[in-house]
Amino acid sequence: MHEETELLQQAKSGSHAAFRVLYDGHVVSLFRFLKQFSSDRDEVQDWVQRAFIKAYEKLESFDGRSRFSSWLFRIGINEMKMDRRREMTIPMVSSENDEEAVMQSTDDFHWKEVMGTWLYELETIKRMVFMLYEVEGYSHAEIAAMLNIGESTSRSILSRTKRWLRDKWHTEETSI
Amino acid sequence: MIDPKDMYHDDDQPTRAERKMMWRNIEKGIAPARAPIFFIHDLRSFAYGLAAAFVIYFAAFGAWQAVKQQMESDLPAEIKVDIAYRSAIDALEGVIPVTQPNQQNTPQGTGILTARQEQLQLLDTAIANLRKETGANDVSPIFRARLRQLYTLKLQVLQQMIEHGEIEL
Repeated sequence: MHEETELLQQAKSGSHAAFRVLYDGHVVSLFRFLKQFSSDRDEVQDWVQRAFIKAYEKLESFDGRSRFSSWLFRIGINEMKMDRRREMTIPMVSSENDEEAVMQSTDDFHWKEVMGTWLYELETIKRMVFMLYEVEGYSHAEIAAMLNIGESTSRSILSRTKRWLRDKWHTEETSI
Repeated sequence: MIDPKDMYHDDDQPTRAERKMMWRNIEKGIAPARAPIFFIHDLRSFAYGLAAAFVIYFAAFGAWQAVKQQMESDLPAEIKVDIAYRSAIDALEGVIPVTQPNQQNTPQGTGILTARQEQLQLLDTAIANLRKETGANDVSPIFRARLRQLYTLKLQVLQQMIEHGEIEL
């Protein structure tokens, strides 16, 4: 973390070498995440490139209060959103009581490999929240900032997605 | 939390070639580095340019002088004599640029000075007209004789003015 702060300082001073180290450290995670939303590798490469170029140009505005990776993901997702505006609609959110009920009902959620393919049946925003939280390990606050939604919306979307996956799993299992 | 290995396939990762290519494009897209080496390069090329400009200037000047000398040495003897007359008159007029009469206090002295100045003016006009009519490189004997006559007259007038104290040296 200290090393990353040092690299960011150097990159802010115009060091391409320092920015290259940051690129090497984050390009794989950003690429593989964005790859889940396009089968076209060229398109993904374009989003990644644009994200890093914008990150470099806006480095001065990065105050270090959030993680560099979450800031970079936010830029990357915004680049994707520019091309996929229609797919990024946010679903209606339930009330807090409903959300609590949903969360309780997904406590017994367990990930199964087959669920990876089922995720593609979901809306982009739901898939994003699920992957950012469950796979990439970002907090709801970070996800809310990345996707420009409320924290409670992020929680609710995650709970609903987990419940949907769990229910689908039970349905599949009983049908066999 | 789900292990990324269980979620992502090998195909989802960027290949080494893709990573290199993306970095090349990113490098092209970001502003040039502010490394001091670029400034040194700029300064060096500026110095080279300045030195080259001096060399070109002096070479051109030297070439021009050489051509001029060559052209002058190729001139016919008549034109060289003409140039010598002109140089002599110019040198004399350069030494005494302003004619200052000693006898300006007397009406007679003022009259003589005015007459001399008119003579000189007439001679200058006659020389100029002759040059205009015939061209500077005319080597015909008539033209040369007439020109020599005018120069001699002008020199005589200047000589008389010096001898009679009409010009203060």
